[in-house]
Amino acid sequence: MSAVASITRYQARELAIRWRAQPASPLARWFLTFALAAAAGVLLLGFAAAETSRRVELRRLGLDTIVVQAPATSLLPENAVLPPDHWAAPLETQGDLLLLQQLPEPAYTPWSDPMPVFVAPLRGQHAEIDVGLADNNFRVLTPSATWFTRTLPPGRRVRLTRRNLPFTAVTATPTENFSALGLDDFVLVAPPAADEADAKGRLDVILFRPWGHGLTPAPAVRSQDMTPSAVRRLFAAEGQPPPAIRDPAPYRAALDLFTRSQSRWRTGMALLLCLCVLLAFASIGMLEERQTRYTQALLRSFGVPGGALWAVSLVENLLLANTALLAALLASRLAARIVLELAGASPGLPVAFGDHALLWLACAVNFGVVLSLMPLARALRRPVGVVLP
Amino acid sequence: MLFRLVDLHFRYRAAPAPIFQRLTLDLAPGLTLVRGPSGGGKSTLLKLLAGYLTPQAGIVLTRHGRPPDREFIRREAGFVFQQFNLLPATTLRRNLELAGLIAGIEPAPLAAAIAEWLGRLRISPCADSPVERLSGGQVQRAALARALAKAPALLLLDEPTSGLDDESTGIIADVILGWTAAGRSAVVSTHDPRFAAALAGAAAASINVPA
Repeated sequence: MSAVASITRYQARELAIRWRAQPASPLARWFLTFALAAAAGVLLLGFAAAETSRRVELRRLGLDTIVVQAPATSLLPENAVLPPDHWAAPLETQGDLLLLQQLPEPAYTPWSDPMPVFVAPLRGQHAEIDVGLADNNFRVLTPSATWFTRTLPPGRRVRLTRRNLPFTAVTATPTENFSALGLDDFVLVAPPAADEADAKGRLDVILFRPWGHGLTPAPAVRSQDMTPSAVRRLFAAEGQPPPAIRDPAPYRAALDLFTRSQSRWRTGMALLLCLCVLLAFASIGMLEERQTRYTQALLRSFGVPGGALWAVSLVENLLLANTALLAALLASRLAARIVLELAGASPGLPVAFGDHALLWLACAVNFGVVLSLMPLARALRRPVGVVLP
Repeated sequence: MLFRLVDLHFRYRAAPAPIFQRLTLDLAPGLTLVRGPSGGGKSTLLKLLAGYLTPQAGIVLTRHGRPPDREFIRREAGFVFQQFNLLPATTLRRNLELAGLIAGIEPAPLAAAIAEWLGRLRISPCADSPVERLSGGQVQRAALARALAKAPALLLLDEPTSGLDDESTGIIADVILGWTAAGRSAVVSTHDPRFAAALAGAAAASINVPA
């Protein structure tokens, strides 16, 4: 057996004896780490859930989408989402972009309630209208019209009227793509369904959801600014009347503020956790050092480096801390789910740690453990001859 | 030259007076006896020679011309503390094995050396006993066996026979005499007149502390 294996074996045995003789020491370290990390984990999960629920809510209400309404200067082509020379075309690389054209004449429900009619562009060789319904396994086939409504179940064929002419539409539940329109009922038709009489008086409706403010990450580079003032400048430069813009910037700013605040709390909590672990492990470590001082000095008297003995203590403490951390993470997920359910959160709300939260927790605990062993490092520099009689 | 001490100054932190002041001394190879009253500095001198204590001023040089370092104590010196200091929670044999392995001795020759020294010091029957079960005399001989098993060039023994009966003292004296007769060195501190008398004939030098 080599010297390293022999020392390791002796140290492991000595550690086992010490743990058996005084189980309070490892148990105290383990449970303290568990309790601290679990508490931090529950709070972090709560933070992440609060942030996610706000993002989901913003998206559901369409408050993450910029809506620009302007008189249409041309008819929508059938096979492209946007004409390539359209002012909004470059935005396709920066977010989810949808161009609709609202027709001047409304459609009427069977109960004679008016509702706006939008033309959506065709996309793809199968002439399907891609209105972002693929997620729901529901696609609108031309030339049918789709009535987005919450009053009827989806998939029904219903007779509507427009300009006193009946037409058939298939019902569908409004998706998040259209939530920014703020409409409970509206009809979507493909370009061929809009005849010559609708050519004039159309309104371009641009729905633009920038990446990075919804549930999708931001692109690495933003090539064009989509601020309302930039859009207005663009229209002014082309001599067109100013468009109507609904800008969700205040909501985005509030979300950003909330996110930054969450980030500060996360940092503060990680530092607090680190400090608590440091104090707990250092206090117990100093007591342990008194107990192991003799053995460690004796091993050093044989020529074993103090660094190796410090490393053994480090492994012991990291083992305790990280098993406790893992258990705490599992427990905190369970606890957070229960707390969120009790708090009435949506059952579908994911219980997941936010960006780098796990890394923060792991760093806080492990850094605290390493710092807590500094007194031991100092003690191991004490001359052997002072310790051993 | 086995050791050279130059202008050595040493004082324990809480002690009112230094143990050594401007001590300059050369130790020749062979057997050296360190004698003096309790508290005179015999143990401190041995610990300074082993590098277990660091002087506040001056220097201790080994035969290699440099201060005793970890490598020196690991491979070249076998030290027996006054309190013997066996590793707890393990057997006598594991104590010897551990010291030998740390010194870099291969397992097979180490096992042979352990068997030899346990036999010569008459503690073979308790080789596999936990050290906590050994008697005082056995512990003293075990500590010496541990120092010898690693086959060092030098033994540093701090009061190895204090409290031992005549027979045990005689065994240890015989071992040390045999050791030095083979051309190796030992520095032995003692205030045991029986032990000092047994070794006096073979001693190359005798140092009295306080110097």
